[in-house]
Amino acid sequence: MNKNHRVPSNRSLGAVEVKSKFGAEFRRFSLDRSKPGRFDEFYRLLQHMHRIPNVDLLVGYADVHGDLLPINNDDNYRKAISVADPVLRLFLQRKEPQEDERCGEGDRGVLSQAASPVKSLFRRMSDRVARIGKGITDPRACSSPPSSPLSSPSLPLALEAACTGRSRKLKFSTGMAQQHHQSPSDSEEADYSAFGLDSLTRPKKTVLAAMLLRPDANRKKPLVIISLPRDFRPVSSIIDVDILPETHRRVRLYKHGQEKPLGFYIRDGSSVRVTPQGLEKVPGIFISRMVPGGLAESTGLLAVNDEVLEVNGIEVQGKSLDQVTDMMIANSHNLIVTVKPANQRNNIVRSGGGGAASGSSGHSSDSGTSFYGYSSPGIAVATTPADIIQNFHPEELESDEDDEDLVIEVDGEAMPIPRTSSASCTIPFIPRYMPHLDLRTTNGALASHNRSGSLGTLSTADRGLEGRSLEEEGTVITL
Amino acid sequence: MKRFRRHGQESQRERIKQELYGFNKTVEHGFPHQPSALGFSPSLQLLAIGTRSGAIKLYGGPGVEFMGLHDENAAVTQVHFLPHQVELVTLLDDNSLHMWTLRAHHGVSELLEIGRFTLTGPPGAPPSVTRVTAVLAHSSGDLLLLGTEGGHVFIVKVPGFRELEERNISLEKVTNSVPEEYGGRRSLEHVESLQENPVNPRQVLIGYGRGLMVVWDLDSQSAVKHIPATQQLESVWWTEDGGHVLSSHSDGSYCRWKVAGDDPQSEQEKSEVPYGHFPCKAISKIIQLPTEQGPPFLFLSGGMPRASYGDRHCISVIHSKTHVALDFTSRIIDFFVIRDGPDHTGEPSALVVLVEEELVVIDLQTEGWPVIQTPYLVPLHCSAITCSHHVSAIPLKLWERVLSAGALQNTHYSKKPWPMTGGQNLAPDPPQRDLLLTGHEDGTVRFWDASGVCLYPMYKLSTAGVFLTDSDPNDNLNQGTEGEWPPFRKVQGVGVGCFDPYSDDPRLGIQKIHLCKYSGYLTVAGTAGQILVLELNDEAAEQTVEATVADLLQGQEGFRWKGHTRLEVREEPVTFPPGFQPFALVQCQPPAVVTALTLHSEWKLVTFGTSHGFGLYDYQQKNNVLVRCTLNPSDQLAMEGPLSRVKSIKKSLRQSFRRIRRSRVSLRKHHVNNAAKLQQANARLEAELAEMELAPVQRKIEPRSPDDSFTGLVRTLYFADTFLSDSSHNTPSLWAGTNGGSVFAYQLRLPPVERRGEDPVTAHPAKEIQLMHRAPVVGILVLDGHGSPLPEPLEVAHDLARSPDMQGSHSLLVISEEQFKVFTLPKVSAKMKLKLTAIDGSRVRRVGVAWFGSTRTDDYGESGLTVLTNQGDLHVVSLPGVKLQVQYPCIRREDVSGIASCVFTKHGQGFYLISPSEFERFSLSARCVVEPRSLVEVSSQTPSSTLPRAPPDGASVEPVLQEIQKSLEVDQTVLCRDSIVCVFATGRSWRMGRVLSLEGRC
Repeated sequence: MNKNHRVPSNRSLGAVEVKSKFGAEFRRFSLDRSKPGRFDEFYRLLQHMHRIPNVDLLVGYADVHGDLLPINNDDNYRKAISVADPVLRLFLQRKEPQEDERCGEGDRGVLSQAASPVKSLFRRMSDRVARIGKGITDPRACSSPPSSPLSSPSLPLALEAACTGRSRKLKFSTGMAQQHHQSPSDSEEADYSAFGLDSLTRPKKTVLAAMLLRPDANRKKPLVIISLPRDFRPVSSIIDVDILPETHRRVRLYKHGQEKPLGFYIRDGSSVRVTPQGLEKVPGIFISRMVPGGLAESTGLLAVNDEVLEVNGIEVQGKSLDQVTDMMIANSHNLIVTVKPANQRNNIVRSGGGGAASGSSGHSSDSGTSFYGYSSPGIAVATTPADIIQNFHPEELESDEDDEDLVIEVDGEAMPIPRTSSASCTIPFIPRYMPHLDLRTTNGALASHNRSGSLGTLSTADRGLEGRSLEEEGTVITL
Repeated sequence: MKRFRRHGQESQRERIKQELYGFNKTVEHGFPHQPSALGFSPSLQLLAIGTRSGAIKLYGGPGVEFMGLHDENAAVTQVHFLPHQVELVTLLDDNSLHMWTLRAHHGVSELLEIGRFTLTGPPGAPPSVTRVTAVLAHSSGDLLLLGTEGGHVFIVKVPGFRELEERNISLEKVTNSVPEEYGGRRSLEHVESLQENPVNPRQVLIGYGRGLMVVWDLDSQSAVKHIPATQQLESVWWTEDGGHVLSSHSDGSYCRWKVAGDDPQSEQEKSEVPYGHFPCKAISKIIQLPTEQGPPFLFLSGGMPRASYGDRHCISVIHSKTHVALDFTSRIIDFFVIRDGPDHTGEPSALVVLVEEELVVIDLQTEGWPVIQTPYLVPLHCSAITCSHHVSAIPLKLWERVLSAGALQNTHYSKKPWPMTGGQNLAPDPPQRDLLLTGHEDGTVRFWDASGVCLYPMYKLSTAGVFLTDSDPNDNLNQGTEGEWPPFRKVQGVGVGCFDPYSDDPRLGIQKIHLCKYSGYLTVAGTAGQILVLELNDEAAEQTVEATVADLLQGQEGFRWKGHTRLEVREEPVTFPPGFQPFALVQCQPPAVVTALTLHSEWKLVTFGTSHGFGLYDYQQKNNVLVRCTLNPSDQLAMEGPLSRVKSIKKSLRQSFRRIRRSRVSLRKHHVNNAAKLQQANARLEAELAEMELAPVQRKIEPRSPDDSFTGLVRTLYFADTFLSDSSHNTPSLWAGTNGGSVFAYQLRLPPVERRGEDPVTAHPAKEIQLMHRAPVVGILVLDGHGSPLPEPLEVAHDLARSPDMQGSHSLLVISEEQFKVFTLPKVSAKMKLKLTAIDGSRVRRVGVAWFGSTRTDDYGESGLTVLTNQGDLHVVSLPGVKLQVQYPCIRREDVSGIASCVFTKHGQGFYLISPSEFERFSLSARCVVEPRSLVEVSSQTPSSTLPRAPPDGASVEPVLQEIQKSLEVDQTVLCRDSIVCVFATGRSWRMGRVLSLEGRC
């Protein structure tokens, strides 16, 4: 899993590639790494490159963690050049004069457009912080090898930036986020306080900074370095954040063969789409209901009236409700739905009262997976954290569990169909297979009539009872 | 470079695909659903049927079929051929007229719509003025007379649909030219009928609804005569000599009027109420045709005494002293009479009656007027079709034996050939003999010749005789007793006049059929868990059928079957007619419907499955080899049988009724109280409605669990000789797939052939596969070392298939509703798969194995799976690679019964029901296509046919014409095998040019 630390092999090269974004426009140029020059020269160069000589700018760059950090003096400028590996990604924003804050409704649209990168960054950040407020952390961030030469120097910066916004952010997570988003021309959008942690690029590391932003209660505790977790498994995750429009969300639900129902309903409806002919009403599929206690509800990532756009990467447009139902059921062991949340303001926190308080509802930890630890299914039910994985690799999907059809060789050995080495994957079958087994074991007449060796013995209790017949028939069940 | 090469391979693959696959809906078999109009062209010898869904179907000689569909979704109310031409006009429910023609294209005629027209009245006129009620295609071939509801007759020139306003016959013109006492103040009502004078085409009879009839001269544009009938008019017939007019009326009477002579007012010669005394229903149509010697034939439809026989659907045929009321089982749409002779003006030879559910043709020239068996339009739905089974490439021996057994059942048919002879069937002879077997609700199995365009009934097998049923088969054979009046004759036969939608006992219904074409063994299974094994016997035989009970529950506890009881078997010997005779019977306990059935005639084994389990029966030793319960104890529905489900529906219905009643009651109460409360109630109702709109249909997203209903239902059973347990020895095996995604494999041990009768057959469980996705298993197939499907039993023995490759490793293909998955054998491990549902949300409903031959070379072909999904799409999936090849939309996804009825052939064709009475045939193969290819030509013969109608000047043209005809006919007879149809019309000299030019094209 730790493929995230790209070794900056190109750093020794003389040139730094710069990719600068202002509004919707990109400029690319390069700088000499050895002679970066001063910040004000750089600033003028940017104005020149973007042909905005008289516009006041805020300059930010994305560090290796995907966090947006400011460049406003020679020091952090040099730092930015030095850590570019090899691309320095810049984000320019128009510095808004104070009086613009009180401009009318009509101007606001223009303003918010101009400020959109900031706004979106800000929103993502607040979302992230909201999640942190719920106690969701990414242990992988902590487990990143300290040997990485880049992570440590950038840390103080990230920390600093994050801390400046902390008090405000914690407020968001307790329900204030809405208010802030309703005033897009708020000054902070055009402030460097917007910078900090972000999910711009390679976000698996971003939570490192987020770790430092825990609610105060947790703050006193020293950072616990969690090794690759073995006790938990993910039940859901948000994926592909970097490639999806912000208005969309791709949620992966891990069934892991457990008994907990997926638990949601879908319905037909209509949504408005932008087409070359203008706005058009088109039929769409929506989540209509959540089953209380179901997997979908407990993740908090899906909600009633969210529009379903894709199922496992396949667009549902033009498909009937029944088709989409069948697609979801066919993919239920590893369901990935892309939705357009009905509530666009709060893209991640949605269950519970929001904020840190909801952290108590079992959103305790993020997780890797352990199949070994699945001895008590209650844990998985109780722990239903949301996990954010970006750069989702579709090939992971293909190593799916539906290959693991259970094959029982009555006079040979029984085994799951190979392909995955993890034999324990089939353990979740046990509860489901039980009924058949019960049937066979209670059904002595049948067994004696024409069956050699009923193999109805998968659970240990049964195995104890029927151990003899197993021995006699030589039926071995390997799981 | 590599990429480039792959690209080349892909395009080559695309080319091969084009040579292998092609989708066509080719022909509709059976009887059109809801026919609404009938037309006939004596000159073309073609019959046209219009339906309520706007389809128009033309039939000529066997194999000559055309089909067209109006764009408007309106019922066809009238069909008229233009005399002596290939055009026909249809009138739809929406008052539009459509012109169709049969145009030759690449040597094959096509039915094309070439024009449409709607009458437009003067501005401001009510729509009734132009509402067409009667159509007359004038014999000149270029005029159409349209009588309307307003009483006007519009004259339109065809084929351009140009209105000839100056020639229109308005109601005013007519009322002015008849004496005051008939016209005047009384409205004449709509135009009921338009008839042309058979001897003078310039005279037309207009019959008005109120009863008045007027003979109108088209040239002088004035009324020549009027017929002062006073009863509501139903139909009019002008006798062939032009001397008399027959009119039928709504009170069940008909009148004969003399129209020859100069008297402007016709006299009534005769008025009769054939089924008299008591009030009668209307005679809706009357036809009188002369015979060469003796009295004419008179045909009347309806006219039955209202009180006692008002519900009968009768056509009365009166000829001399013979008077028969043909009693049909469904409503009469229309009828016509075919006449003998080269130009179809001779003796009446056959009466063709279109009733709602079938077409009946009665031979009028054979004593007793027997029915002629129809080669097409057979009612498939005499009893509802419950299943179908297709067997390709029947060996000639079996074919002949089935045919001869069928011939013995059809002795009551007329020996006369099919009287409709229009067109030529150019379709090549079918390459093989194909049999389609349909199972019916009444326990019969019908065998159809499905080789060609005509689905022809061959043989009917009834299984009801094995069982004791409530009804006595002799019950409904009470033929009319002597001296009964009206003299009814039930029109009944096999395939004709047999439409009987009522089944005696629903348990008799056939659910599964399997025929071994090499051995002649047949097994059929039914609704009450009965499995019959039958053998073809050319002699009648008396035997007792031995019943074996298979207890599929195997002592499972907590079970309560609430469904129907087992059928009772007749203890005494039963005489079975020649044909398939049952010799073994298995009855499942509980008697649930049989859901899977397979026969292996080489091993003499039959396997069957229900929702409770499956069994293996040895029909040589007549004992059960294996019984296996697949039930899941938590599956209450399967445990209790179908009734519990019915109960739950009933319950929910009751609840919803209660809810409705509650809301009504509350509304009423409010209404009584005061207006404010009413408003309140309305608001609440609105809110409720809004809520209903807010809560539309929703679907639960839940993976399948083993607790789902009917997981134990056996969906598919398969016999294979393969490497089940070790890779060096192949053994017979039995495979079963269930609704819950389980596959059970059993190894079978068969005694050597010489000990087959004594030593027991044994079955040992060998493998079980539980598919992770738990989707129902709909098909199991073993592929040999070359990746081709194992041949059918006895196929190799009869040298009809290459023996399977037993050297390479076999593989197992499990087809579930959601995916196709290939496993290795004998060690079952996943090799490859094709996901269907996960990708596009459709599920497999039907699957078949087919051989696709290439259109380019005869020696290349591929095996493939033909798949029908729940979306109604057809797919072809390659073997053994399980790759999707092609995909075609075929059936509407809402058409559940169509999808459920689909059956595939072994050569890439298939059938599905488009209505209860019609099979649509389709083809996925580019090479193997069975479609009608027929040619209808306008040609001419001796113009003697026009003689009676020819005006005086026509006579002089005749000899010249005959000369021309003779010279042309030489070519014609070379060109055409069938009889050539005459199109020559009036004998006027200007038409000659047209005929000649048509000839030139032929």
